[in-house]
Amino acid sequence: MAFVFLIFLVVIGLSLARWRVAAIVVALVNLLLALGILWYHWTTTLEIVL
Amino acid sequence: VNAAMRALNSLMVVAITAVLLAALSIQIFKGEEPCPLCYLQRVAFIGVAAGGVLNITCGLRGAHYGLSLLWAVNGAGIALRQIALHVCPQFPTFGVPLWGLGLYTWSFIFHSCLVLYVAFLLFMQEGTPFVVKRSKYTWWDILAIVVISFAVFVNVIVCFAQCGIGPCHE
Repeated sequence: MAFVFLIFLVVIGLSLARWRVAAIVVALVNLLLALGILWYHWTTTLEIVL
Repeated sequence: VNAAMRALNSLMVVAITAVLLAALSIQIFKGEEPCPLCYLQRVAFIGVAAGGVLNITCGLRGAHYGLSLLWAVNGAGIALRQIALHVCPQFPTFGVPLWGLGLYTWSFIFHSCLVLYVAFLLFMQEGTPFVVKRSKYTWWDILAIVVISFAVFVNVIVCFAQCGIGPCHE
C-alpha cells in the first residue's frame, strides 16, 4: 500500500512543477486505486465475518 | 481576497498535516500498528491536502476544490465503513480510544469537517473569479507544502516498513 502514498509525492511534485492537469489526473487515478484497495478489503473482511 | 483564499487553503493543508502527524505519533509512541482501513483514511487526508496544494501552487480553480471534495467524501466513507465494522458488540473498538471515541470515528468527524470547510471556501469564492495566474509563495504557503511533503514521505517509509510493497493485512 506504500505506493499509494508514494504516488502523492509525485502529485505534490507535479503541482510544484505547475503541471496541474497531470497532477489532477494522477490524483484521480490514485483515488480509483484507493477505491480498489477498499473493495479488496471489503470482500476479504466479509469472508472473515461470514 | 485571493491572497486570503490561498492562506485558507494553506491552513487546511497544515491542519491535515497536524492530524497525520498526530496519527503517526500515536503509532510510534503508543505502538499502535495501523490497519489497512486506517492507512486508506490517511491516504484520503493527503488527497484532500493535494487539492489545497494545487490551489497554492497553480492558482485557485474549481477542479482543485472538486478533487479535495472527492477525497474528503471518500475518506468519510472509509471511516464510516470502519465504524460499521466495530458497531457489533463482538467486534471491540480497534486501537486505543481518544476522548472516548476510536481514531476512525475522529477520522469520520475530520473528513466531514473538511467537506464543510471546502464548501465554506467555495462560498467565500462567490463573486470573485477563480485565479489562474501564478503568484509568489508566502512563507505560510511554503510551510504548508514542506510539512505535507514531510508527512507523506514519513507515511511512505512507515507503510513500507510495515507492509512492504504489497497490500497491508489485518
